[in-house]
Amino acid sequence: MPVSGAATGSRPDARPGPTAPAPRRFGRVNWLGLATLYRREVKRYLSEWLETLGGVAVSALLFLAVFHLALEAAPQPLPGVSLVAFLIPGLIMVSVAQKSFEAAAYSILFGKLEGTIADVLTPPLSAGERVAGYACAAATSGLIAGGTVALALAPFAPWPRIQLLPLICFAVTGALFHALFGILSGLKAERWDNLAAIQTFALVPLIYLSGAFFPTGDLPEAGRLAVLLNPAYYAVDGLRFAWLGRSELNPMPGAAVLTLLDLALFAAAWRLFASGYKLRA
Amino acid sequence: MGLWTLYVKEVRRFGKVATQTIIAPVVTTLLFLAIFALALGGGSRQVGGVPFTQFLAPGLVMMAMAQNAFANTSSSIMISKIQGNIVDMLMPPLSAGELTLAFAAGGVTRGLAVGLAVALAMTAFVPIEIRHAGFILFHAVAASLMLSLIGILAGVWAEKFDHMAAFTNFVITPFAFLSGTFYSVERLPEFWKSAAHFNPFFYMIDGFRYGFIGHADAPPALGLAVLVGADILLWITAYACFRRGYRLKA
Repeated sequence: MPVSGAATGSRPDARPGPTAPAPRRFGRVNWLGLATLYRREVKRYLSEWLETLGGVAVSALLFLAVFHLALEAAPQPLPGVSLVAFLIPGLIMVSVAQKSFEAAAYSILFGKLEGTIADVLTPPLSAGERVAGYACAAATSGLIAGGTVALALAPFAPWPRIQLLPLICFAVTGALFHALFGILSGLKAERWDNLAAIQTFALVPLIYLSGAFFPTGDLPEAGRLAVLLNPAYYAVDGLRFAWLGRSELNPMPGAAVLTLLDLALFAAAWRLFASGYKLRA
Repeated sequence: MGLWTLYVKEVRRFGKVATQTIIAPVVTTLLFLAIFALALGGGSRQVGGVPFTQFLAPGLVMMAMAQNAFANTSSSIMISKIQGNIVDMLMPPLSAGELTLAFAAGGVTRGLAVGLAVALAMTAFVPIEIRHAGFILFHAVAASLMLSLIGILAGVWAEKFDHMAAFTNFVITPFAFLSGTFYSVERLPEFWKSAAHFNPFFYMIDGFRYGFIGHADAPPALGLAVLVGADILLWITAYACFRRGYRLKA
């Protein structure tokens, strides 16, 4: 970073001495600050990587095993796709969603309760940069979890025909959606109980009823409508398209829905950070 | 008197946040029921002589009881240790046996409360009939007790929340998921079938389900014996921990 003694302007009495630190200068976006926040958050998540990633992989494997054993006789969820092959992209997206949400929500709530959020609120970062830092870091954590699950589960089905561009598109928009949802929840919650309630009554139903575990084609009309109103469904179905080349919906509108929702949630989180909602006394 | 006070404190602790401790497991369990029913795609498969959802329901009730009994004692002890107020329990004139009893009873109470709530909620979706009330009651109590005692041991052993999360992820969840809640172990390959018979969680699910559907994978009497044996063994271990103050006293 360039440091200049003349940064404080023309008032002679305000000019710092040769050894005094001068204000940092940056352009429209404080990239260094943003990157620092991002790195701090990802490190936070990975500090216990063995427990975190191991735990994610173990529970995804258990889900796969249990579904396989319990539902061997179930009809093929999509024509030509076995139940296990169908479940794998679903389980990947479920772990991406859960971990993105947790990483963002826990970090913000913990910071609020411990008062360490001031470390994020006082540096010269704009509200948008703060949201971007938290959201990207949480989404990265979710994607790392999803990658771990993908590696753990892939051997149990024929090697998938992955399409890279849709994979990146749906993994990233899906992760960001849940990360931003996590940011909003972390801001809203005042105690751990509040956050647990949001998880139990909003996040978990959203994820479990997203079609990750079952085909939605046979649902009654009302159920089908509920699924179509569930953003997580588009992420799951889109990732399934990227993974297997098969999906229930045309993936393009799903990608558009997710992108628009991400932008809307980003704007909402931006406004809350800018107004200091439940952040400043 | 001292024993009763600690027990009441343990029950109040979870009663105060009933949304989280009672209603949350009901919601989660119903979601599990829903996804399995939906994944089955309306197929009318029979397991153990009954439709799949009827086979699944008692197992899910038991899982909810087990998880909550474990969560109650483990989190209570863990949090007390971290906040330092565990001395409030170690200082009063309570013997190690009384401590074990009070904590375990608190966990059993939570387990039974959750089990009842989940079972009632399920009757709305799955026809539930009771064949052997004695088996249901015994397994509900014995299994809650077993998990409460495991929770005490885990709470005493863990020094950080991360330890507890790891214990739950790598021990409790695998044992619970692979216990035959979701499938009949009869269908497993030979090796895994024998392995399942070494899982105490299998007996608690199996016996509990026997009380509802009248079909068990293992001899019901063996299940009773395993649970009683496991409870006694765990009780002695928990008692010894409190007695010696393992990871409790400096």
